[in-house]
Amino acid sequence: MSDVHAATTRARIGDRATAQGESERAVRRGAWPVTETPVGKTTGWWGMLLFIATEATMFAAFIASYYYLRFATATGWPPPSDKLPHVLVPSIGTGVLVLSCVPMWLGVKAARRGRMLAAPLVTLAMLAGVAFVVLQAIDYLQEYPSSTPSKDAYGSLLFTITGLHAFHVAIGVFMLLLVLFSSLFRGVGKAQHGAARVCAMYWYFLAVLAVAIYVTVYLSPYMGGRS
Amino acid sequence: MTTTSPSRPGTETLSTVADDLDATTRYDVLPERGAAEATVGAALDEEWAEEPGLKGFITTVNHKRIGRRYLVTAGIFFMFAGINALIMRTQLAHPNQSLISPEEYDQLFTLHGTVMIFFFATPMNSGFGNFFLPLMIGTRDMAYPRLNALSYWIFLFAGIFMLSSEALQWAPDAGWFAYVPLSNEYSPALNLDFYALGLLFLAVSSTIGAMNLVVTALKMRAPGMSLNRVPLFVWGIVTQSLMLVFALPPLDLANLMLFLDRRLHMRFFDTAKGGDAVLWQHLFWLFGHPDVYIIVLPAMGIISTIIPTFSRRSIIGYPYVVLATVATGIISFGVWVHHMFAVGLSNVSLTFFSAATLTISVPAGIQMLAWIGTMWRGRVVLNPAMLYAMSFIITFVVGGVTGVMFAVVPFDQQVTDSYFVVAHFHYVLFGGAVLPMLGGLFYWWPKMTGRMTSHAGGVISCVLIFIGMNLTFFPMHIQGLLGMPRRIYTYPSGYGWGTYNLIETIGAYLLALGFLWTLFVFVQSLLSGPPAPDDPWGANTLEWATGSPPKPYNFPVIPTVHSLNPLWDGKTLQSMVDHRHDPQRTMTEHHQALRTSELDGRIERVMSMPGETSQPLLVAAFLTMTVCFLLAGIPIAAAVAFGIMGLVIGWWMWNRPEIDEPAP
Repeated sequence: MSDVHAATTRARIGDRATAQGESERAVRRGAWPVTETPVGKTTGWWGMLLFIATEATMFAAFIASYYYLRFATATGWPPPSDKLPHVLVPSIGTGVLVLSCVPMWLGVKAARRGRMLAAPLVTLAMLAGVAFVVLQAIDYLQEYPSSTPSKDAYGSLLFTITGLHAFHVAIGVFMLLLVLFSSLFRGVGKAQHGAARVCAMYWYFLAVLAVAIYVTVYLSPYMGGRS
Repeated sequence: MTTTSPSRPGTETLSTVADDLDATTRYDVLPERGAAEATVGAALDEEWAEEPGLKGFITTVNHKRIGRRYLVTAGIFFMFAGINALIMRTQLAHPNQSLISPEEYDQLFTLHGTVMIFFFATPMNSGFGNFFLPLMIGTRDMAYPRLNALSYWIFLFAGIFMLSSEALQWAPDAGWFAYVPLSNEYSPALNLDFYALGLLFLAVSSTIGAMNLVVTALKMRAPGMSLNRVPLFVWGIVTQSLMLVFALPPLDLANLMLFLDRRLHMRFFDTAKGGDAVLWQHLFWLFGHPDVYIIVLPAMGIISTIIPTFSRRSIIGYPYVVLATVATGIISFGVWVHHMFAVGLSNVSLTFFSAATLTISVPAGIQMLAWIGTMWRGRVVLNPAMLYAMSFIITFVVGGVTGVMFAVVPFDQQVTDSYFVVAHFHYVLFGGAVLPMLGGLFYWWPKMTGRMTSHAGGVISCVLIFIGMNLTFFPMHIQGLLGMPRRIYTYPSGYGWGTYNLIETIGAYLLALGFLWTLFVFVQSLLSGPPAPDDPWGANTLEWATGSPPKPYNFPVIPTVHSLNPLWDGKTLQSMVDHRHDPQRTMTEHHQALRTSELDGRIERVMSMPGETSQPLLVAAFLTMTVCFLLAGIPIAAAVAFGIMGLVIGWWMWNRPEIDEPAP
């Protein structure tokens, strides 16, 4: 039993080019006898999972604070002195970020096979992230005279939750920039795939988060806020 | 090692192990390790050699050096916060004293609490975890060695940042839980900015440190170490680290909101503008209660390590202790409102959180039974570490019982904000964390330094500290029931509090004497203690299969773990001899470690590990600059420093070992 394992693992180590996804597919095909899941996750994968977990908890606490303060406010939501939020620009921004997950996913898939197509696909996703941040800034200009960060709790929440998220999208863009820059010099290959895959996990997280924030900050005030 | 069969509860094997204590300590070097070192030691020494001098000090990523630094730094912060407490106790020795002003007293108790909780207790656990988790699971380094160095540097700088506030007379002064609006509109000076920024700063270190420990324990265990063979200390550290991952975000968010409220006049906590002051309390205690277990669980793990060794038998009810540890971690997220019973929340939530608080005492009780049962069914060997473990059991039961009393809402409402609470949490935190940590220091000192400590010196240390601790904190129960509120800088005579306060002050000085004595014992050991053998206690876990102190590569040959008590089963050590020519186990060619599967500890592949680098220190330095500029109110400079930090991180990410170093 243990000899079988030793032999298979040695075979896997010998094949250095074996990328993460390939070993997983091989296990699914039944090429290697493995009795546990998940299989072959890297330390980087686990680290990113934990990082996403801690970030998700923070945003969950932030969104919970939003509803906590909303339902503690007796004067309606948003308060009478504030206008309802603008919806069009944030809708476009959120849509762009969510759709950017498609080129991201295709890009990581291409990187696993070492195809040059990976670079433009990831670049496309990254540009969508930049567009999201710009659209967020445009939305601030729309909201500004009516709501400000220091006018009331509604304004503080609106600007801080979306601002913190946009800041995280900027960090995601920076991460993709690093991966792309690295591929520029080292080529698109299996060595880059691990990094690209981990960055993509973060990217999907940012997109899901964008939807949660969009529903909370931009849509929920329309739902029975002004009674 | 002459015993060959794995130890099982209730068999003769266990007493055989006890009889062999002398036999094992006779070896300076375990013969199995000796054989392994003879084969591959020279090659590994060369591959893992560290830069000497200052350069090595700055660039090291060795988890043992970082762990030692954590312990020493946290120890210094402990002394600092302890001196704060001594000044307070001196002020309170008699009624109507005016040794210090009320304002200074506010700063003293706030900084005492904040530093003890955030800059001593949690990092002390990280120190033990850093040093011993990789050794106990049989690997060569942490999963992210460079992040490990980074988390230490950030911890150090955040600590200096926080302590510097006292030197500048701007120490936080709104209590360690800094309730708004006191910490907000009524504290215009920089005091609470130090608090909010300092804790946010430190949280970066705690979060990445916690992630590092979890991933290390998941992916780097020696082959054969399936989840049911993971040492209890590792379970404690992993549970604690996972708790940090989920508990720190609410605290970070609260501090972010506080900082924005204070500096940019946002309205999160401003009741007149739609904010809510109770929101702070919810967010703070959503972190604050799990934090109690974040401090105590690794300490309990230390107890679960010491007790089997000195009871000469395997722990009783291992799976139950593991489940209890994890259950404590989970339930602790559902009890935070018991810190807010006097706030005026609805009866429904008081009832729910009262029940949850009663529930959490069950897993603690399971662990308690396992420890007592292990001692009962084993043969107890008295030793300073074991004495500390037994002291812990006594004091933690007292703290636990008063904790259950707080679950009863009417009682809680009576004694809240009185010295009864102070007595309770010092029994939990001093008894539940400091005593195990001292026990852990005595237990692992030979492994960390290569020197034995004086047995008599250790016994005296334990006696002094145990008596001093009880003399200081026990009378606080009575004094609290007599109505003395906490956080008052002095009190009038005639309430019957004077005698108790005097006793406590005497106890505090006795405690200080105990710590000085303990320090003396350790220094004396460093200077002239006898050299320690590999396995001085005849212990059961893998860290004792390394040298004392361990070589930079820890294990010359990565062993195959055969049982929960690998050093007692005879096969695990033998595997170091059997595999000494297996390149996958020796990894002499490069800076490498073994990656294994999460559940069963099956070998997956050999990983290349990063070597020494100064990038972590640079990142920490620029982050420090960012924080200082934010404090000084220069956002542009802060943004520039943050941007440069980003560039350094980019440079760091450029050197990924899996790309640069060829794998075998």
